[in-house]
Amino acid sequence: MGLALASVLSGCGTIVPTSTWPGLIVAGGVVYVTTPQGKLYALSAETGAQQWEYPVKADQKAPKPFTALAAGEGLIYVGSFENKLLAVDPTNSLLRASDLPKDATVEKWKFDAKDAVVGAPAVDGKRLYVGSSDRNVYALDATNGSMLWNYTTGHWVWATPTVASSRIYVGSLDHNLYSLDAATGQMNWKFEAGGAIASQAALQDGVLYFGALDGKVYAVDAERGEKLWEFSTGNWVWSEPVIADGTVFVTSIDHKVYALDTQNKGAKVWEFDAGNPIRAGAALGDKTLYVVTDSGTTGEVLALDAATGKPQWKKTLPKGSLTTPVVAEDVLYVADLDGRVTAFKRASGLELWTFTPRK
Amino acid sequence: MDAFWNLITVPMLNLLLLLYEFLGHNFALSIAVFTIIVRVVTLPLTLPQQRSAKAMQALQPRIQELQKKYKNDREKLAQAQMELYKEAGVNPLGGCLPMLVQLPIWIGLYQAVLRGLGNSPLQLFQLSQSILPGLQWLSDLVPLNARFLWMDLAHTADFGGGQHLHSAENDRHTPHRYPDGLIQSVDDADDAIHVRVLQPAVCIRPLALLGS
Repeated sequence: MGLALASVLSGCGTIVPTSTWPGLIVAGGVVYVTTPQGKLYALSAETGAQQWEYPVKADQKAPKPFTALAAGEGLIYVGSFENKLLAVDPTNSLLRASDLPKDATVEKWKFDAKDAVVGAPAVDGKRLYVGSSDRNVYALDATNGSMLWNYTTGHWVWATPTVASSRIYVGSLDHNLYSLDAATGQMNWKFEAGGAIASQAALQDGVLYFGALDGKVYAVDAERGEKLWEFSTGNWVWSEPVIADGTVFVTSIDHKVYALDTQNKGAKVWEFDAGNPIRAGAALGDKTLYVVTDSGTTGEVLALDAATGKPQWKKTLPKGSLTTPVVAEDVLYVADLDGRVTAFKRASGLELWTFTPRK
Repeated sequence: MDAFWNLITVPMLNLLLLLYEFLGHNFALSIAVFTIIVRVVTLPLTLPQQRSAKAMQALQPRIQELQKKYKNDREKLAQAQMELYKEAGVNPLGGCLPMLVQLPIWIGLYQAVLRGLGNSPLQLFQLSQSILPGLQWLSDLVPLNARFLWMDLAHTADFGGGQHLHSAENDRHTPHRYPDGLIQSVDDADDAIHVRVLQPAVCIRPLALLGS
């Protein structure tokens, strides 16, 4: 009966997704995007033309979806629901091979976790730090993927760690933000929030700013782990805050973007109602803030004046977006839930190109 | 499907979260109580089904006699059976309609349980969209503690791997993973109630008859 009902459910529209949104980064003039179909694409940032795809063969897909991405040390790091973190050298000629030799190894290395690697790793020189749904935070040698240490939290770790010289800070869905020794993984302190922490903390001037699924934004002293202030929104805060000129910009699933004054205990400077849930963090370029929304069917990209919160331009996306957009020079890159990447001119919102991955 | 989601699954999901809050944050216990509640609520639908099943069972010896008598003439057999049902005042499809009406409720139950787990980012995001405004305080419970004895109901590895189901090409939520163990747990709870409290539904035989 179970399998029969599972089949029925899979045929329904409101089925249970066990995937995540596409990962998106821009590095060295190349846009890298992961898709729900189990592909990693490298695109020219200028034209959107595909340079390579992984798995290399067009009709081949990873058994389970890839997740978030990071770049560093000349490598691209990508997590997956196959419980792996992969390192791919984008200069590897095999990625562009039309006839891949049998048993060819395209990946530079693979690291096996015990459950999905959901969040992007943080790369710090020859080390990288990454969380997993197996509840661990791992420190790896970025050059060969060997494990240096691991620290076990009380629940899934989906947030990207924040690296600051000798310490890393990482949130867990067990509601705690951990401060760990970067060399040994030993815990310095932990701060318990009122809800799960699923996104990266931003660090500036010795203060950590992060959101939690209790709908609050927290400011915590990075040295001692003591709360300095908190700010309540109307729903989950799943995004990583952005800081500029003494202002923290956060988005919330309550549809709003908030600007909070770091010098005045998080007092609200302005808020803007985007009309639909915002999971993704904001991207900041000069004096403009870019946010993406997901209505459940379509999405929007909005450019807001960072000083006042007033909208400058708005574009509609064919699908919603839950991926934090990326600003690179005068272009804004956005990935929707299908892995479709669109490049917009930042100043005007003019669409420069769109890349649509194969289904 | 949005209407189905809003009318059936969202209330069920919120009820499940409330049960989780008041039953000591025990997800397995919440599922069991949740299943019992759904069973009780659907009792007006299952009782006619049960009566029809009993009546059909009582007619079985006479049906077998007819099958022997008309073993070479399927048309006469069907005619004789229909006369027998008419004489006994039994509707052979009586067990089917309540079952069909219950189907969306059980789909809603399964979806509520699976979504309550929120074991992937998209699933958890959908959970955020499903908590009713007055119950936002339940967000503090997320993600639910799906551990029960040695099992992690949200984790497929504890049950020997998950099942991958791929939806239509245009579905944005592909692929999907159903925790086999969880489905089995809900199934077992439901089957135990079904077998012990209610008679098994009789629907296959009349449908087979129609096809013959």
